[in-house]
Amino acid sequence: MNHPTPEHWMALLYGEATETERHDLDAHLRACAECAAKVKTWRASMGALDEWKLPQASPVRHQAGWRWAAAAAVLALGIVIGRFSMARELDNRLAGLRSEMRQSADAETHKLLTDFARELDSRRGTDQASFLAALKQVDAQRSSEIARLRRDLGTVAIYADARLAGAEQQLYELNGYTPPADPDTDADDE
Amino acid sequence: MAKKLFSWPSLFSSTDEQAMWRVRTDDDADAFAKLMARWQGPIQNLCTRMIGDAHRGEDLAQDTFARLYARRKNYEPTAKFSTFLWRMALNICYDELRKIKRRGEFSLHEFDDDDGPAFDPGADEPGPDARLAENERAETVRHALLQLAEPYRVVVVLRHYEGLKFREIGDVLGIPEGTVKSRMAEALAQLSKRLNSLLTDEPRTAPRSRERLLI
Repeated sequence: MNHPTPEHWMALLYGEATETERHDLDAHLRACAECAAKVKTWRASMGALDEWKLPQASPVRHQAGWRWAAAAAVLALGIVIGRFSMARELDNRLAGLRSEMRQSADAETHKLLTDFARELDSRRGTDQASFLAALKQVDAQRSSEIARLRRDLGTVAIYADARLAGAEQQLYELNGYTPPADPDTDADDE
Repeated sequence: MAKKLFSWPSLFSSTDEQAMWRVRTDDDADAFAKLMARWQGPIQNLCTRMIGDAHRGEDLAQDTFARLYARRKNYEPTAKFSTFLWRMALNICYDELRKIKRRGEFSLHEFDDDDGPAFDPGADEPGPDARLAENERAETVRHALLQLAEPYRVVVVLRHYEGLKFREIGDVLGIPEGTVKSRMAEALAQLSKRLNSLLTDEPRTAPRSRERLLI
C-alpha cells in the first residue's frame, strides 16, 4: 500500500487539501491503521497547542475570511447597493465631521468669550485703580493749594490789619492838625 | 494594478500595500497608524510565541514597527506587505533568541497571571481549580514549544497560531511549501512526545517558580 506523505496529511489537517485530495486521504485513513494512528497523534498535538491562549489574539485568517465573505456579499448585492453604502458611509463621515467641527467651534467660541470677559474684568479693575489714584492725587493737590491760599490770606490779613491801624492813626492825627499861619499872606492883608 | 482597483478593500479602505506605499512615499502618519492597528495583535502574538514571554513579545512588536518605519524606503510595492512584515518581525525574534543564547540561558518562567486571556464577566468563568488546571496546561504547551528547534517552532507559530497558509509560510521563510509541511509534521510529532502527560490527561505539576534552563 502506498501511504500518503506527511505533507499530504498536513494539508488535510489544516484544511488546505483540495476536495479530491481530501476524499482520497479520508478513504486511505479508513483503510490504514498505521496512518490513522499517525494522524491521531498529530491531531492530539494540534488540540494541545490550542491550550496556550493569548489575550487580544487577532489572527489574520479571521480578517481575511471576513473580507472574502463581505466581498461576496457586496458582489451579490451589486454595484448600486455598493454605491448607496458608500454614499451613506460618506454621509455618516460628513455628519461626523460636521458635528466635530461644530463642537470644536463651540468650544473655541466659549474659550474666546471667557478670555474676553476675563480680560475685560482685568482691564476694568486696572482702570478703576488708575482713576482712584488720579482722584487722590488731584484731591491732595487741591488740599495743598487751599492750605497755601489760607496761609497767603492770613498774611494779607495781617498786613491789611497793620496798614489799617496805621491809616487810622494818620486820620486821627489829621483830625487834630492845625496848619501854621502863612507869613506872606498875613503881610499882604495888612 | 487594475485588479486592485476592483478588489473589495479598495471600496472603503486602503489595502496594506497601499497604506505602506503612502508611508514610504509621503511619510503618511495616518496610514502607518492604520497598519499598526491592523497588525499589532498578530505581530505581538508571533513574538510572544517565539520568545515565550508576553512582556518581551510586546516590546519586540514595538521594535518591529519602529524598524518598519525606519526601513520604510526598503519596501518594494511588488512585495506583499504581510510577507515583508512577518519576515521583519521574525528577524527581530531571531536576534532576541541569539542574545538569549549568548547569555547561555533560556527563560522558562511561568507566565504571570495577567498574561492569560482577559477576564470576561459575561463568560462562563471556570472555578479557581479549573483555572489553575488551565494555566498549568497552557504552561506545559509553552514549555514544549520553547524546546522545539527554531525552524520547527516558527512553522508551528505561523501555521497553527497565526493562520498563515503553508505557501505563505514558504514565502516568508524563503523555503519550498513541501519543506514547510514536512517541518510541521515533524514539529507535531516532537510535540506529541513532549506533551505526553497532557495528551494522556495525567495530572501534572507545572513549575511554580521562575526557573532557568541552560541550553
